[in-house]
Parts: sequence; structure tokens; C-alpha cells
Amino acid sequence: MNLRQAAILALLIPAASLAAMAQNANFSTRVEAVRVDVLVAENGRPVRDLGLADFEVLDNGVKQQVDLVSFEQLPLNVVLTLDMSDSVVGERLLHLRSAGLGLLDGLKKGDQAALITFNHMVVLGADLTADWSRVRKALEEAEPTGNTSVVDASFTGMMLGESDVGRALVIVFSDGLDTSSWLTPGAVLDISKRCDAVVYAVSAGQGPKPEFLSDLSEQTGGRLFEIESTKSLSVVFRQVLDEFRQRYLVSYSPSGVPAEGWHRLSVRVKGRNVQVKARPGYLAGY
Amino acid sequence: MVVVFLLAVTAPLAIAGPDAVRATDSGSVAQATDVPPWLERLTLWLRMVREHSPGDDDMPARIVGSWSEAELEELRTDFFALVALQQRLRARRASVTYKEHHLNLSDVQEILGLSEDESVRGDATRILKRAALLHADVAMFIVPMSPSSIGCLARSTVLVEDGRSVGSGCAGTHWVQGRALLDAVKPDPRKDPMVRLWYYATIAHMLGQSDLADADPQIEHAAQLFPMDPGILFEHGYFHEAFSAPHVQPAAHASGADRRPASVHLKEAAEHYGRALEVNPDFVEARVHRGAVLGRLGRHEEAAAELRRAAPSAQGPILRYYAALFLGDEEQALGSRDAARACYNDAAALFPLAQAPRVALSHLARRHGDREGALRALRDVFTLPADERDRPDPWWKYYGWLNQNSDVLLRELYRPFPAGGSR
Repeated sequence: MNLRQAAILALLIPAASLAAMAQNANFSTRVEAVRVDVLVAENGRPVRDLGLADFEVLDNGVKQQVDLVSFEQLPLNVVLTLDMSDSVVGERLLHLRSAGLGLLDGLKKGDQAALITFNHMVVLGADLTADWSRVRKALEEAEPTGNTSVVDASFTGMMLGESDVGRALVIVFSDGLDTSSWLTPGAVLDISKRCDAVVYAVSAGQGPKPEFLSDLSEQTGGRLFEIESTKSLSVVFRQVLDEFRQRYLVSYSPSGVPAEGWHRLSVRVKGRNVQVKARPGYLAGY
Repeated sequence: MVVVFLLAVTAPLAIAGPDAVRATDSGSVAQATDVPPWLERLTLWLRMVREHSPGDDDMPARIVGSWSEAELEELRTDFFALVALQQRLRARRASVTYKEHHLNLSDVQEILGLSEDESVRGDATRILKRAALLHADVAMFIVPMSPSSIGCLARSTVLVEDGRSVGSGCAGTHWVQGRALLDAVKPDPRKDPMVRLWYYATIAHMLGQSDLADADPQIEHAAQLFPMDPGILFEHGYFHEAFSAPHVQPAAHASGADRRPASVHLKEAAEHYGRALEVNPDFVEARVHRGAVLGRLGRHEEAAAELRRAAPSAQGPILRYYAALFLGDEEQALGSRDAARACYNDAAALFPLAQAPRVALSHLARRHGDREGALRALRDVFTLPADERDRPDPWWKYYGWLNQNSDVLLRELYRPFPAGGSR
């Protein structure tokens, strides 16, 4: 199958399968299809010319038949999940707003965005929408106060990201440690293994770093950016968006593996010396 | 809402000079030039002890609050020395020299203000108790408002806000003073209800203020005096549970205040709550907390058993809310999805605008593959008012909330000691 065929297939199949997935409220124990967001880089630069035949996926060590490889075809659901606790004041707040607005400027037609802000409260600033001006407005109006519920908010971001057809990119920004979440990091990491959303986390400031954000981004195949100053936040947010756009969506229907439990994933590109970044696995069943 | 935790660390704290903040009316007590400073201060202290109205940040509290740790230590030493001397003087009918000051029995009696009966028994309990109340009030109401480090021990503490160290705080020297005074209560401080209540109430105040630095030695001392008191055992457990909190641990480790992992504190907490329950099996709050810490330790069967027992008898909406939320988590951990959902719904019914039960319901739904249910529960969160005052969630105050409110305990402590009273 050549690249053109793969692209056409990618346009046709996911729309149906993803819509079905979104409508399927009671996700069955049996895993219908597994989607994996994959970043392929060669000497630090994204590789953009891969097709279906280039990928090899091992699920618990068992080679799988890859059904679909899509690149830059599916719209994004970008959920900005931003810390608005007491510590995000002054310059930090300005940088955060600016970075968020800059990211919205980078969205393309069909993409949706949402804003969740959190301190100890988790607040929906703007629901997933293609009308980005609503997200802009909410971002400009958000004011910092209170403690930090980054764990609860990250969970909320993932749930919102996967609530509509499209590839869910959850960007979590926090400059603090969790101080008031009800959910434990372990509980949310468990969900992240069952969820397609990819989390990119940005942890700002000095002092102890939250392990949770590192684990969450690793678990979902995303990346953690640790920055000392929020001055670089705009660059980081754009980098996240650009990198996510360069990712392939690889899909397969698992076979020859147990329906339940942890599935270790290994994604390779045949015949090329490239770096592949994808989630390390997924959890099926309850 | 910002919770500031105060943790003790071992590095020394630079103390500002003792003259930084000082009350100035001490000169009115002893005008005579031949009165030595130590006696002048002791006399003034005794007057302030008499005149202080317990529970107030009045002038006596402010004056005593302006004294340094060294001055407080000296006057305590002098006070105990004079109490001992007056007994010797009574036995020998002679005079003594103390700090180069000539004293006879009537001098000492006049200085101390003991009744004849107290003097015969050598019992300064009345003064000791009032003085302990004065120093507790100074520690609670004066020192925290002071811009200097007067009234602070020469060891540093760390202020923790939003999970991070945000500066140094004050561990109060007046608590040291209060403990030392009450240790001399006769016939035995361990059998004295006022001493017990002093510890119970002041520790509750410290824990309610998230002041773990002052609570640490206070609890240790109380535990030695009242090892089987269920209230103090509960507070001891609560102290360790607070230290295990996710927002305290990183700062405690980073500052060196306490490098023990959360699991160590959780085990300590479970142990103390358990001992409190052995003494008083009807101590529902201890049972709820024990269930919570056992759950965090992964001992889900035991945790669920405690919480199932506690939930029906929990008094007041907040304690019932905690019991329901924690039990929900334990039912979930044990695989009882319906029971977990019922518990979270119970919690949501108690506080319809609280976030935690809705997030818990959402997580439970998603954990079982129900994406729509998960989102529906979160939509309930999204419709909550934006202002936190309109959407109270007791979970946000779990570390700092005690069913036995410290204000109530303090009022009970103060009641027998009216201002200027004979007690």
C-alpha cells in the first residue's frame, strides 16, 4: 500500500470507528480497536513520510496487523488544563495567558479547543469548541486563587479530551504540587492507561517537581517539559502543538492477546534507524 | 482557601534582638531602684498572671508576649526557686539570700501571693494554671501577630503554602513555658483535669491551624502525661496523618523538617487511632480517620470494615461526608462498584455543591468503561458556582478539621478561670 492509499483509508475508517467509539457509552471489556499516537523522529526531526507498511506493532510481544496509519488527518481536541492557583500571579499569569492564546492561534480548521482551569476547584472555562474565541475569552478572564488540584484537573482534561471525535491532546500546566485533589495520582494514572488522550505536561518553577505529571505524560506517550521560568511558556506550548501534529495515529484490532489486563506495546518502524515515541501500553477490562 | 502548614526544622533561626518589640509599662510595677531586674520581672509576671483574662489578647498578654525566651526561662527559674525557698523559710524561720537579694518568709509570700494554706503546702498550682493559660493565649493570639521573632524558639520552622516552603515561621517559646509550669501542678499533673484539657484544647488549636511545628512537642509531652487518653491519642494520630498529607510531604522532605515517608506517618496514625478506639470504641471520628489511613496504606478490607462501622453513627454532616467518601474509595478498591457509587452519592447528597464526590463518581464510571457516565458526573462539577464560597467542599479542609472544635474546648478550659478570679 502506498502513501496515498494509506491517507485515503485514514480519512475513511477513523471517522466511522471513532464515532462509534464515542457513542459507545458502555465500553465493552473486549478491546475493539487500539489507537496509538506515535511520534517518529530521525536525528531529532519528525519523520513525515511513513505509511501503513512501515509500522510494526507488538502487543504483549505479539505482532499485530496494523489497520490504519494516519498523519495530520484527524482534527485535534486540545484541552488546555491550566493551573490558576495562588502562585500563578503577575508575570506568570501574563506568560500563561500569552502562551495559551498563542497556542489557539496555531490551531487549524476542524480543531477544537477547551479550557479547564484549576486551583482547588476544577472549573470549565470553555467546553470543547471550534469557536476558539470562547476559549480566548475564558483564558483572559481566568484569575488565580487558592490551592492546587492538578490530579483532579488532569483527569478532567482527559475525560473532556476523549469526549468527542478527534485526537485528544491534553496540555497540563502547573507550577505547584497537588495540594487538594480527591483523586490519587495512582487512580488517574490507571485511567490514563485506558484512555486515548495524550498528555503533555509543563511544570514550571523551582523546588520539588510533581512526579505525577512526569508519570502521566510518560504513560500517555506525551512529554514533560520542566521549565524554571514561564518566559519560555509560549515557545513550549507551540512546540507541543507542532510535535503533536507530527504524530501518526496507528490503529489495530488486537489479536492473539488476552482481552483483559495490561498490554505492553512496542511500536517500531521497519528498516529505519529512527526514534519512536508512543505510549508504553494500555489497560483493557476492569 | 490557602492552608499554611508550619513544620519544625532543626537549623537555628536568627532571632531579632529582644528589644525589637517590648511592652513599656513594666516600670509602673517596681519603681524602687533597689529592686533587682529579675525580681521586677517576676513581680510583673505574677501581676499579669492575676490580671489576664483567659482567652483575650489583653494588655497582660501583650506585655508577657514582648519578653524573650531567655527572660521567660529566667523568671520561671526564679518562680520555682522562690516557691521552694518559701518552704525552707517556713521550716527554718530564717532568711535567705537569693541572687544577692536578702529575703525572709513574708517577703517571699508577698512576692508570690500565695494564700497561707498554699504556702503551708508549698502548692503554687493556682498560679501555675493561670500562668499556663496566659502563656497559651500569648502563643495563640500575640506571637502570631508579632512582626518580630520575639516569642519564638531559637530553632527554625518552615511555612508551607500550596505544597511549597514559603518562608520561616515561629515555634512558640510560650508553649515551652506553659508545659514547664503545668508539670509542677500538685498533687499530680497526670491526674488533673485542667492540665488534660489544656493539652487537649491547645493541641486541637494547633492542628486546626496546621501548626505541626508547635503540635509536635506538645503532643509528645501530652502523650507522656496522658498515654491512655483517647482524645490525645486521636490528636497524636491526626498529627501523623497531617504529616503524611501529599501537600506536606514534599516540603517536609525538602526542608529537612521530617524526611520519613508518608507510609511511616500513616502507620503511626493508624496505631494511635487504633489505641484511641481501644480505650473508647465509640470514638467515631477516630474510626473514620483510621479507616482513611488504612485505605491509604492499602489495607482495604480493614479500612472498609472500620468505615462501614463508623458511617451509620457519624455525627454531623462533615464527619458523615468524610465517612461516605472514604468508604466509597474502599468499596471501589474491593471491587464493589454499586456500593462505591452509593457511598459517593451519599456524600454528594450531604454536600450537593461539593466537587470531590462528583469527581469520584466520574472516576468510578470511567474506571468501568462508562465514558458517558464519567463525563456526566464532570458536567455536574462544571455547573458548580465559580466562587468557592458558594460551593463548599469539606474535603478541602480535611487536614485542619476536627469534630471537637478547638474554640469549644478552649472556652471549656477558660470557664473556671474568670479574669482576676481566685482560681
